Amino acid sequence: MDIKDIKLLIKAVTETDITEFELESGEERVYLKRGHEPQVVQYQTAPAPVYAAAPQAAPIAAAPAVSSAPAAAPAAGEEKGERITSPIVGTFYRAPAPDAAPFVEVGQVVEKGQVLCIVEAMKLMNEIEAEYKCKIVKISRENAEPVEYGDTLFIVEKL
Amino acid sequence: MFHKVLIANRGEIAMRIIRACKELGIKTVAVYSTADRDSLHVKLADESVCIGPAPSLQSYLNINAIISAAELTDAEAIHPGYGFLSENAAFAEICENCGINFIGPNSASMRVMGDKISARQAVIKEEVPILPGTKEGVKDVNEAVRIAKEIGLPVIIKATAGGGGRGMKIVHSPAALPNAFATARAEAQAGFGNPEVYIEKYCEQPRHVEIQILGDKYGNVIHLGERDCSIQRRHQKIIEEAPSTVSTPSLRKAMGEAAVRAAKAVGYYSAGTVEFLVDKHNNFYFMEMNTRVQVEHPVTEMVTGIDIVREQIRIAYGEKLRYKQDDVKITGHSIECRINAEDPVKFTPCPGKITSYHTPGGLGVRVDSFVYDGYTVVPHYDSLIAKLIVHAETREDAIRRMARALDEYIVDGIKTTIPFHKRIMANKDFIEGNIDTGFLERMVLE
Repeated sequence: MDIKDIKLLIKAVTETDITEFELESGEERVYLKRGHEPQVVQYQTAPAPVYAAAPQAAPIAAAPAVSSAPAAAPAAGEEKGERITSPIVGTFYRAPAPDAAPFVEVGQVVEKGQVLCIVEAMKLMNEIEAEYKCKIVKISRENAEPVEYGDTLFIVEKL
Repeated sequence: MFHKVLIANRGEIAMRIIRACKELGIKTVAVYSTADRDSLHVKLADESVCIGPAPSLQSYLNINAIISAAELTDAEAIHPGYGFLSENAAFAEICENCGINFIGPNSASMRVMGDKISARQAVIKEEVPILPGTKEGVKDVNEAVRIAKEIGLPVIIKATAGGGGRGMKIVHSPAALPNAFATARAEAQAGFGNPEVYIEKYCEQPRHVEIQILGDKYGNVIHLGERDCSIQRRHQKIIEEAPSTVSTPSLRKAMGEAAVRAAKAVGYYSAGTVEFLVDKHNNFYFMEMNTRVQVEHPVTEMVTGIDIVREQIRIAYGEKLRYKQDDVKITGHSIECRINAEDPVKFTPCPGKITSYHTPGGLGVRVDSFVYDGYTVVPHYDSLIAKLIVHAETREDAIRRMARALDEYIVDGIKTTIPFHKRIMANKDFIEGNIDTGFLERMVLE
């Protein structure tokens, strides 16, 4: 399934009263849940090329080609969800050490108090913790990127 | 020369420093609080870093955030401006330890001059005249009573860690002394975190005359003449001018040389100001030294032609002073009006959106400001929005020029003190030069 198909899916869902939609096809699974705007999270249940052709796509209401995302979808640059921002000026690090695994990945559910990242300032490693249980929707900064006070670090979905 | 300087300040002085850096080919980094996102200094600088929310303690006084910002942007030097961290010796020391050049004096001389008592002790040794008063902090009310009797009333009780005209109590009668002493200590503790006070003879109707000095890191110190800042409201300067109407060449020479001695005594370099009180017999007495560039530095720049902020940057870089005392000439007369976003009668702060803004122009008119058409003045910081400075051949011409410039100055949408300044420019005593630190209070009561 490629991005064009996903966009068609989103449009179809938003044009109806459907609030939850799940499609499993071969090794791919797509799950759409509708809040104010549809959120799309695509998982892979097994390692496989990301956009392997599905043997039999489920019938989707035929829709004209979508030139742009539906109006309800987030505008470019603005993401749906809660923003976790930097409380200090410093450098953003995704992992506790250069060769260590990152604290969190996209899609991961984190508990309240769990460390999300480090912002290093004046040789001090400040751990930034989650203030509530949430799911990581987007990691907004690159590893070792300088951040200012108020810069978005993560977009999360509160749970 | 430095490649990049971070300006640890905001408002008009941040603009001033960025301008000086640009003229020297230095890249600039502005730091700002969330409230100052739309501020002009952020727009003018080459880079900017948001360092915290609106409250000063979490932003412009946040040493960690400012040093982080300097490290992130590879700034080699920090100019602290005035107020905020400019006279914070701990901050200067942290810069030194982090290998960042602090554009100002070293932390040691800042410490000596920052404490009023140690400052007095340091300058007494250099034969700089001081007002009769205590050499050390006054321990208790009994000592206060004894000292007041010795010096003779009226006296003034001052916080040793105070500044900006705050933490001062005048005592005219012996009965009022114990209360005043206790209140002064409480205010000093609340305002500056240090309850220590000292007592001085109160000079009635004095003039506040200060000397601008400039020193390099090689021990050369010169003075750039005096400024008269007697027009004050509740010890806050409103109008400054250079030269002073009481000044004579010999008085200027004596005060200037005393100021230079005071600076040399503490190994001072960069820009600094030595404040004196001048009584009606033209006797002058050392009050304190301000170890930073001051708000009113432009009037000295106008009469001497010397760019004080530029010289601060050069001195910090390690260049020798390019002026000798004989090179300094005072030409013409300059006046500065501090324009505040305040009600011109009640002086209550009036932040808000500026709906229409037009600055005066023409020969001899200078505006140092950071506001613009459509800018919203925020309530979190001091109310100064602009400095209007004029320069002319004589004091009479300068007053006329200032009155003319004030008439042209449009700031709609908020209230400002422009109407108040117009009243002062039309005031007979001001025009004739009969001014002392009590002038404004009397004018306001008329």
